[in-house]
Amino acid sequence: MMKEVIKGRRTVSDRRAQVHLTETIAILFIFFILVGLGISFYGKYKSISFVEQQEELLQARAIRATLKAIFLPELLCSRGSAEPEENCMDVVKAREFSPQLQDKFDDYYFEMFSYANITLQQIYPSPEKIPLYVHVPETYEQRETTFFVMALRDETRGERGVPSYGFGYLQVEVFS
Amino acid sequence: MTFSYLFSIIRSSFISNNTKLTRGMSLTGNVSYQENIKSEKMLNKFKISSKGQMEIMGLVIIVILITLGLLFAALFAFNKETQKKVFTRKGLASSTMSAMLKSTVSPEEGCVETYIGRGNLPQLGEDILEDCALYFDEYVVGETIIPRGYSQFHCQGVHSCEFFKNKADELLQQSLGAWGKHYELRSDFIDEFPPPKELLVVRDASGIGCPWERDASGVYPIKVKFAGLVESQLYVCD
Repeated sequence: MMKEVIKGRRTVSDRRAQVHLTETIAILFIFFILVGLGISFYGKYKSISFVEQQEELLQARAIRATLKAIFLPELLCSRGSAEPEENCMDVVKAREFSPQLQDKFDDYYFEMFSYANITLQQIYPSPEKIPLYVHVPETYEQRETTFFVMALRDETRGERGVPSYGFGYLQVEVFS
Repeated sequence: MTFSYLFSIIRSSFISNNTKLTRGMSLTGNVSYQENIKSEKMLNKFKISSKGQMEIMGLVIIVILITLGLLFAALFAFNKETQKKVFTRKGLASSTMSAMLKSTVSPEEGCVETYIGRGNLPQLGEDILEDCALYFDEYVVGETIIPRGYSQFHCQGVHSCEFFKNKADELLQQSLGAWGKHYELRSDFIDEFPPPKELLVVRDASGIGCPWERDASGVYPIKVKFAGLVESQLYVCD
């Protein structure tokens, strides 16, 4: 009689142990699923942040190139020995810049701007597009465009010694 | 922390197995069979309730983990949106304002300056906007706008305020508007009689302007002869 009970109890405890074991396995399974999800999420986050970092670097390069282009003494609105005018580019100088650059100073400006496309676009009084620096790579993954609005001085359109000021913008494209 | 919680749940299940064995051994030795069954049932009840609590704890932890994960993902996605464009937007408002006020009106606009004749390349800021402030009362009479009201400069045959408004709208539309930016240009006239008069407001094509997060050009003041000051400001937003 006692032996049967013990036998029965053992069977029950065995079943319980099996249930516990199954529970433990299930918990471990869920736990590892969670860990897996965490790892995959972290991996994705890292890859996205890496792409974002690349974009930020490209944006920073675009800003640097824009600032360099805006403050190029070759293009600024100079006033003799006085300080040059702010936010202003001389259209007459700009028109002559690109041909000069292609002939003689290509290497010098490539060191400064690397692969970039810099264009001066006049909106007012008459639309005009002046390419300043064109070095577009054959293949590129990303392109970042920056705009900077400027006053465009044109001595050729002035009257009675007063230069004309147009409205336009500098478009800087950088590539990576 | 979460790891230790999960392991404590797993460990507790093992510990409860061990306690059951030791109690079972002692019960078979001294206590009667019925008492044995009774105490075993009570023990099971206690064990079931504590096990239930543990399971709930585990579920709570999982829910917390998932919520935290979603929150983190949402925050990350939100940050990505906002950080991107602020970087290049900063100097745009200021440079646009500066260039626009410096621009001279083309001779093709047919500007006529009273008593002088043909205007000598008047500047949009220092000449046209100043003129707009000086003769604002001829432009807005009561609630009515008179586009051809009297002003010293008459470009395209309209009042300086009307011309400046149209020209600013055109220039901003072709620059900021073309790049998908929203903008709002405001000019106020400050004289000896407060409050300041609103000279003009130019908004993007949507007409919304920039009621949300925006970058300002800063105030561009223009002195008006014997009258006061015109303060202009441009707001740019995505």
